[in-house]
This record gives sequence, structure tokens and C-alpha cells, in this order.
Amino acid sequence: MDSQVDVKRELEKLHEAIKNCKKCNLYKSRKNSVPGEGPANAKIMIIGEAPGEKEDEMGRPFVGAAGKLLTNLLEERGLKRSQVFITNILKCRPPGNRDPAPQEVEACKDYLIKQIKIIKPKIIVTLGRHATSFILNSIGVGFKSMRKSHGRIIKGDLYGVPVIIFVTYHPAAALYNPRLKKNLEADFDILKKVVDENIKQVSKRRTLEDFFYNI
Amino acid sequence: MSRVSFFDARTWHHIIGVSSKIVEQGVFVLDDDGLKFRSMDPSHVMMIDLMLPREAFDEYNIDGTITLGINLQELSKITKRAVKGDKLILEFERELMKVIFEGKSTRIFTLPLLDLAAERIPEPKLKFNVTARMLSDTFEEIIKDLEVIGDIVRFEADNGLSIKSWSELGEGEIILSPATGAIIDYDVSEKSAANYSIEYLRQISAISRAADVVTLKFSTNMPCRLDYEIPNGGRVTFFVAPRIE
Repeated sequence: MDSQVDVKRELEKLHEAIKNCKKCNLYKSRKNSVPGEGPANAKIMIIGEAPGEKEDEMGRPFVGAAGKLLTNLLEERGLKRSQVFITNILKCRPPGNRDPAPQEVEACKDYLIKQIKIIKPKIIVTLGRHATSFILNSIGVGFKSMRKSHGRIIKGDLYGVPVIIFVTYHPAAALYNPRLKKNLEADFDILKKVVDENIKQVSKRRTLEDFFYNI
Repeated sequence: MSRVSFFDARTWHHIIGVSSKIVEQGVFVLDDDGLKFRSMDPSHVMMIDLMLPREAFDEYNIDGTITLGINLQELSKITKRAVKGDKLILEFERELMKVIFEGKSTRIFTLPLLDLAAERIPEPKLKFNVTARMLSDTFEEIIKDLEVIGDIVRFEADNGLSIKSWSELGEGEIILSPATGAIIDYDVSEKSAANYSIEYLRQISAISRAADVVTLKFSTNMPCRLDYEIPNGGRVTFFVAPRIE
């Protein structure tokens, strides 16, 4: 039996390191770093781009308007946010919410890789082009655009962890574009099916009829 | 009129109390052998199998076979009113059941019987590799201890019996062996381990107030069986399906 206590402790240690990180210049402007949150044994990991203003203030991922949309998209489909691990490619806020710089992604990527190795999620949901291109490139799959990639399900070995990668838009993009919001909702409907097929059956509670009278 | 009486009404309070948490309604069958009740919970993860032989009753006046559709949750509210020294009398006539407590006073409650068909659940055929007999209080305390920790309880049997749970909060383990006196009888024909939902075992273990001794039986990734021995004869048996991750 894997000790959940050890796994949790390892994740906490990593998050402590992230809170004190000075690997790139973003530490100078941040109020808080945002390692991510969720159970250490989460079966689903959601990866966004970087913390925004609200996340920077609170030290928690997806707590602003985009976070509210993400939470609704999950909960409307019976997926509890509290059972999902949510993080970002960058753990600190880029000033003015600009795009992550390549050197920042390079400096920060080891934290995400370690999170994936510790948590060993079965499903990884990438939100938006930065998270998607990073994760797809990591398993040797090319990324062209979100328009072409969203709703795709890709199985692969991510840093030694067998995962199902599900690609969708970043909720922040959908806040300003109603058409994207419809796509995002349709994508989450697909995600729900992926979760039902790949996670719930793994922990299916057996009934007595599965055992009685067949011996 | 059919009528049975039982020496300790509080035993019924505990049996019906636990049963009503498993199934809302059920059919009691009374025949020459005694009273039988077998039912599964709505999710079919747990089964209760109650058998009170006619010898367990002070009076057992039943002709042929009668079936009684009972709302256990309503009956439980009444049997809960039993106090020390109360004798329980059940009378059945047409669509009514009288629940009578005979103690310092005689209290009579009348309940409607339900028109329910008895579930036909055959005797389960299972082979168990582990048998551990212990005081029912011991088992209840173990489950209460582990409930603090996690949702799943794991039984592991080898030289001793390990009962454990775990979660992000931590881990808990209780080790029992005949040498320490915590287990009365212990037999392992094959090293075994299985997980069960603690929620179900918690509901079941509350019956310890009606039975002094419990026998736990299980095999790897198979249902577990818990036999509670009722004083004066009779038993309540529970089966719980395993959790296989």
C-alpha cells in the first residue's frame, strides 16, 4: 500500500520550496506564489497558465472569475473541485497577466513535473495553449492551435506516469467570448465521459451479486 | 391470532435499529422454525440475515407460515422506547401488528402491516479463508477508532489479524491475536486481505449491544461475513461486498 501520508508530505515539501522559489524574476513582483491545491491522491489534475491578480493575492489557483467558471463547469457535471488537483504552468503571476516568457516556463517546469510524478493523476486536463503546448510537447505530440486541439483525448506517458490528456480552452478566454464558452462546455461534457469511463470504474464498489451464487 | 413474546425488548430495539438503517421496509417470515428476515440494502453492498429460532422466544404461537411486511423505520421508533425489564410481545392480526411492552406498565402500539412481497434471496455460497471470533464490543471499538482516520477498512490476516485504515489524515492500525486475548478463536487457512467501506461496518457494529460475540469471516477481495450471536439463541448475520480498487 502506497502511504498516502508520505505522498502528502512529499507534496507539501515541494510546495514549500515553490513558496520560497527565486529561480526567475517573477518572485520580485509576486505577493504569493501559487503552487496549486487539491488532494495528493487526486485522479484528475487540471493545469492552467499562470496565477492572475486574485490568485497572486490569495496564493490559491483559479479563485477569480475564471476559477468560478471552472468550478461551475466541473460541479455541473458531478465532478467535485475538491477532488481535483489544480495548478498552473507558472507558479507566480507574470506582471500585468502577460504571457509566460519561455525562460520562466523553463525555470518553473520542474515543479510541475514533480507534481505530476508525486500525484500520478490518471487524467490531465490542459487549459489553454500554454499548458497544452507544454504537456503535448512533453510527450512528443505537436501542438498547432487550440481550435484544432480542443476536445482531444491523448494517451501518453508523461514523465513515467501513464496519463490521459484532455485538451480544452482556458476558462478566462471563454469569459470574453460566448462562442468559446459553448465549446468549453461541450469539451467538459466529453471530459465527464472520459472520467466516467476511466476513473469511476476503477473504484467501482462491488455489489454482493458479483460474488454470491457464482462460486 | 398469531403472537410471539421475547424476554428482552431492548434486544429487539438494537436489532431493529440496525436493520432499519440498512433497509427501510422488509418482510419478516415466521414459520415452525422461527423468525427469519433476509434483505439487501438498496445498493446491494450489504445484506442482513436474521434468524431467531422459536426457542429464542418465551412464547411462539404461529400456525403455518406468516409473512409480515414491516416498515422498519417506523417499527424502530417504537422499539426504541423499550426500557430495562420490558418484555416484548408482538401480535399480528389481519393488516395490523401490535407491539406490546410489558414492564412496570403495559404499553401497546399498533402499526399497519405493509403489502410487500418477500425478497427471495438464496443462502449465499461463499468460502472463507479467515475466521476470527471476538467480543462484539472489541470489534465496534476498532471500527470507531478507524472511522476517525478513513473511509475504507482493510482486514489482513496472517499470524495475527490486522485491521487498518488510512487517508490523508494519517493511518490507523489495530493488531489482534489470540495470544493477547483480543480474539477468542482464530483460524487462517490462507493468508488473506480485503477492503470494505467503513460506513457499512459502522452501521453493523452498533448491534454489539444486542450480541456479546461476533465472528468475522473473509477471504481476499471477497465479501466479509459477520455473525452476531444473540443471547438465548438466534443470530444476526451480515455480508458486506468488498471494495476493489
